[in-house]
Amino acid sequence: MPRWFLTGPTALMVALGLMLPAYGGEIYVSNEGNDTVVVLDSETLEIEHVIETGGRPRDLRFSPDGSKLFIAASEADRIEVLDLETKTITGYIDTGDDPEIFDIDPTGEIIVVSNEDDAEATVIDIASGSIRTVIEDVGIEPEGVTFAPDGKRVFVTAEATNTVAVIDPWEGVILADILVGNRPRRGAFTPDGREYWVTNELGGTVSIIDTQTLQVTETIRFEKRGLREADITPVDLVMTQDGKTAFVTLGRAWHVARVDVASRTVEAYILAGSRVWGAALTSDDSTLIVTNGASDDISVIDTEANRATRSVAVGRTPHTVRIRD
Amino acid sequence: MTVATRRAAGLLAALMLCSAAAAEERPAFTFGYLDLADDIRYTRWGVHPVDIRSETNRVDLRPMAGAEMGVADIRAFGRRAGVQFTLRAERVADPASLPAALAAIRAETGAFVFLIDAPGAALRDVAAATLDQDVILINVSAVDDRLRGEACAAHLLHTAPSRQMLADAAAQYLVARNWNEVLVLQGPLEEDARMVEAFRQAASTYGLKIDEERTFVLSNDPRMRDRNDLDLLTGRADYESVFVADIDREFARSVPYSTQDPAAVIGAAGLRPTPWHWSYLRHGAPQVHGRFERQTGRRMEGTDWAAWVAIRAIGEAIVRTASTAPHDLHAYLLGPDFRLDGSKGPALSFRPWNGQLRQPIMLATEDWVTAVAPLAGFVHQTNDLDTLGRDRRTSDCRQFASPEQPS
Repeated sequence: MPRWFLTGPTALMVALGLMLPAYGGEIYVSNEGNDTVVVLDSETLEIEHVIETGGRPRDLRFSPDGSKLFIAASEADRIEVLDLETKTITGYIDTGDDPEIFDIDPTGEIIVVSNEDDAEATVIDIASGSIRTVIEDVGIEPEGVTFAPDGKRVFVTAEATNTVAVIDPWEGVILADILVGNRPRRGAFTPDGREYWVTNELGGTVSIIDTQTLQVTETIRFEKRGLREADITPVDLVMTQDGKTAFVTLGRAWHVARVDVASRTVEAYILAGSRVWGAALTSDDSTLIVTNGASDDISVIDTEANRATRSVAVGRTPHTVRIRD
Repeated sequence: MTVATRRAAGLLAALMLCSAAAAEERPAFTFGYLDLADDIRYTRWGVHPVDIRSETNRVDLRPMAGAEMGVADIRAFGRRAGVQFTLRAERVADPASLPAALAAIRAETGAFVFLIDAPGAALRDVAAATLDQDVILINVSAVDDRLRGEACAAHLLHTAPSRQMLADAAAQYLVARNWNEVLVLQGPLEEDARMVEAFRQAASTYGLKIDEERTFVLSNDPRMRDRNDLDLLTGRADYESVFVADIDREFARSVPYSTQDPAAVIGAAGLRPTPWHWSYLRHGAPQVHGRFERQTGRRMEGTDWAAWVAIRAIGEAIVRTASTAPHDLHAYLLGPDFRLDGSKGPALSFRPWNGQLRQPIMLATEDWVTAVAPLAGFVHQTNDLDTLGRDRRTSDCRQFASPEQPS
């Protein structure tokens, strides 16, 4: 049903002259268990579209111009391109084997994707869809891929080597690799680009890397009464636009940690679902949405109150969430 | 401090990658690997190729392949530590030759870490023969509990689980399913008796009731029907599950679906406790299976996993300590900061009281991991993995320095 076709209470409210946004936000979630991406209305939290994808869709990213969503379909060995207006898949980009996580440079020219089975990262030209470079030996089981805000370098985590490879994707070379905690997963840069924060799933920590010296300067630990150390398994990490707050999903610990970036202290532990991993913030940072991989739902978290207000079933093994608002 | 260690320390935080030429110059760090030409555990009972030349008759199940993959996996650690990892293997004719083979590899390569794939008694002897040497021995296949107990040695670590850990995993599963009344079928070998001993202990720990223990023989002799006929072996008893102890597994294979009463079969057949199974799909295990299968053309077995994880443990200790000195590595491996990713879920560590690697145990059919122990609800006061095998309280190993006592 087209979204401008208003019915029921919405039509009534419009008729009554209530101010409603003409175009609400959208929440995109990939379900790796049933090969779909679902689109939810960010106001009603209803699923509006179900998009069939190639096998095992995992990471999602919007194109910098906001017109497309890129979907890593791991079993199909490609990234699928979704047109955000028509909600149809309009193209495919071959990525090499088993793409899991990827990122797009800020100008929208290239994609860097990790190929988990081959210890490689692939650099792809978006316009032509062709592979520019395959960077070998980035570490065993590469996972997280994050462009620095200036777009010059990309940081790739390697789960089985406990390292972060610093890559110049334009030249196709590895500049350094940095030893972090055990089983590094994903990370985020501070908005000023000075620090890269990376989760260590088995170490149960977050390592902070100084992006100038490429040294680990600090390690954040998580502990909460009643949570077993072995269950604290950080996976995803997002930062607010002002760079003051980071949210870290703690996997089997069912919680999201809220961390004050300046003081490196944990301010709150917010209850979410089982195996909470993917995370995204709304553009005003007022709402955090996380995927719960083992309870097949997402939790909607109010970042003022530091608590989840809703949980919504989305599909089997939801992996990544992205918000368009 | 050696040159290699200093270099590793300097490079620890950030390493500018060296060229291939520089890699050639790095000194070798050699892992020794020892196994026996004749080992009952690798005879393939029950495999009857239609043609003696068939490929199915030629599968080498020895865990050396796991060690080789481990060495390939830690290549990047070598870059960081300024060494080049290699494996030097020797297959000896009998257990008595193990100490001499170890000494020869040591003299030739300077290796001090040895992976040993041999039965318990052979390991005990080689550990006794190397007591005064700066070596680290890693047991990758022997399940003998005595090696972790009264016959333990501080320089002998175990990445293979013990029999008790396997038996505890089986018992937890039966309790979780509420199949509490168990018929035990025991084979004729000493290993089978030991496995039954471990299962008795597990049954008492977790509250299973062993209805009967019966011994079987692999035979068609009509005079021994009470011990070779499954109808008789599983008749006139009251049970919900059957535990089979049979190290060579030829008899065990015939038990599932052949019991008098409908019953779950667990142990050497049916649902088997194992450190690893190729069908496990979580926690990064598919990537490990993939690398192994591409390299060897066969499935990855539990002992392959134990050999692979042994190499990874040493690699992890070398990069974290920035040292290649035996004492530093040994202390770190047994210390509180050591964490290892074995692609089975939780972080793995060594029990400081007996050198056993803590690890989940999979309960697998031929083609699926049905459950992973510790099962939900089996909790331990310090680490749930210590619900499997002897914990610090019940261990009778006294050879390990134990600075930290639990409160």
